[in-house]
Amino acid sequence: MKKLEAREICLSYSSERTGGTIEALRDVSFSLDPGEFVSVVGPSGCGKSTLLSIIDGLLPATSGDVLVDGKVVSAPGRDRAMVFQEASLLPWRSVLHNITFSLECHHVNGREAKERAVDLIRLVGLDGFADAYPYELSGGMQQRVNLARALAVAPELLLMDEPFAALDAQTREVMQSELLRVWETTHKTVLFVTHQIDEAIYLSDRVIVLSSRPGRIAEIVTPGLPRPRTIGMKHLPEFHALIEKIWGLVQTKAPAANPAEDAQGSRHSAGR
Amino acid sequence: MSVQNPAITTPWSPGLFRSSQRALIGFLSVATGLLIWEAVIRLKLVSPLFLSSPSAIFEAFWELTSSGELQTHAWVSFREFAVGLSLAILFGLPISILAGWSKRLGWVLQPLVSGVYAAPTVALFPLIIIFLGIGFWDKVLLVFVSGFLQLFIAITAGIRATDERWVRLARSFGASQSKLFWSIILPGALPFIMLGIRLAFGRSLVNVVVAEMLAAEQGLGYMIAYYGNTFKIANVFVALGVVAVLGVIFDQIFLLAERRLFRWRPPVS
Repeated sequence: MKKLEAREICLSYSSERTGGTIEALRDVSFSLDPGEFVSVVGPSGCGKSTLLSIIDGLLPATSGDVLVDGKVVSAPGRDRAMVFQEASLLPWRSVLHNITFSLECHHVNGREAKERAVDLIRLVGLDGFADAYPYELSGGMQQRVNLARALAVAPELLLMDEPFAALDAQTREVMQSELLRVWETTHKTVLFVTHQIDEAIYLSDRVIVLSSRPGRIAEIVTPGLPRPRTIGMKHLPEFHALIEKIWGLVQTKAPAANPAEDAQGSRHSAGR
Repeated sequence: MSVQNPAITTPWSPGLFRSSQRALIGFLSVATGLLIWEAVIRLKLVSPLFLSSPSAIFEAFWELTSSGELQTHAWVSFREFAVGLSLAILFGLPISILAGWSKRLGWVLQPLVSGVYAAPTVALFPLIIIFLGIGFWDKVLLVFVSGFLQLFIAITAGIRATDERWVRLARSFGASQSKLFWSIILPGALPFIMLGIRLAFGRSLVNVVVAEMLAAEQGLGYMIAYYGNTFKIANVFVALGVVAVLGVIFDQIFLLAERRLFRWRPPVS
């Protein structure tokens, strides 16, 4: 059985500014096998973060279904967990208690939650920082906590919303490798949204390329690079050819829309 | 990847040196001010009738405390203040939190509060006297009203300023409404709640003194008005000094409490 199935997802909403209807996503259909790592790339404002919100159950689709393990999704559930774009750590909670927050929401008792959080702190490489507060952590470390918090609920499906977008280039590379290491130990199914094409290729089994306004699947690309991936692969000619190919898809399929409206559209829909 | 270590304070660390240096400079500044003041009076540059001198004020303080007069008045003011502010917090805290949390309750209360808040609360005092007469409860009510308004304004704003990302996070993890309230909304608004209490405190202290100056037979405000009218300037300064010291002491307690509550915030140097 497929781990995740998206069936003809459409999303429209009325624009507060123009009063008209904006179509954000049209007939988006794809599926993920268990243990698969799939990325979604596309130009900004193409609705990729919105798609993630729909799959998480935060936002209802106008039409279409999301199925996880064959069951239709209508609200957030413990089978899915989101790693947010900004780390969104609670500043008044230590690393340990930021991680247990997700477990508290699911009524896991305190001792078990703490034990699990301690294990995860080790897994994401934050030994010794259990009692640190978010302001004491670097951006990369905050994203490690963000990842650990999502993993804590032992989700079937990990949804990642441009988690490394705010990091500097070096830290991002480190975090990509770290993510692959964690993925290989936990065997999670991952849906990873990014606007960085090289990141998508490096991490994924398949890359879903979305076009913009309305967001539609332009193509699903299979990089076919061997695993485990190494940073060196980013310099292979095949890798560059893949970047060229996806870049071409993103460029040609993106109509020349008003960029201001684009940005507003994505914010409106993602904010719900 | 590095972590900014919280400052480690050993007896000889620069941090401690700096803070003791700061205290010393502050002390010297006050002492110099007092000396200049004393000198100005001794050299008869200003008549002691208008501006008493530190030595005369100290003498007056001694007299007023040994007769017990100062303590009696201070105790009266303190009781009015403490009862009024406690009631303001007791009612203001839950009502403001609810008004920030529930949109509809906010719509009901917000215009009422804004209307009253726009007027200086002391202006309500004549009205309050008509209701309650001159005594203890009229001051309590004035303090209650001003404290309540201050809390309401700060706390409702704080609750409404809750970061959307945190709400989204809680929803994504399937948090219940009560979990959202206790783990996101309330801790997020805590700095505003503390600020509200601190502002309410300052307003209440001022209002007690002003109310006693307007209509009272006891209290520090009464002392200030009475001795001012009888040109006993030293006694006025004693009463003023007690008010100021009370304000400073409570402010320090607040700062200490904030430092303990908000250890999660980056330290401000």
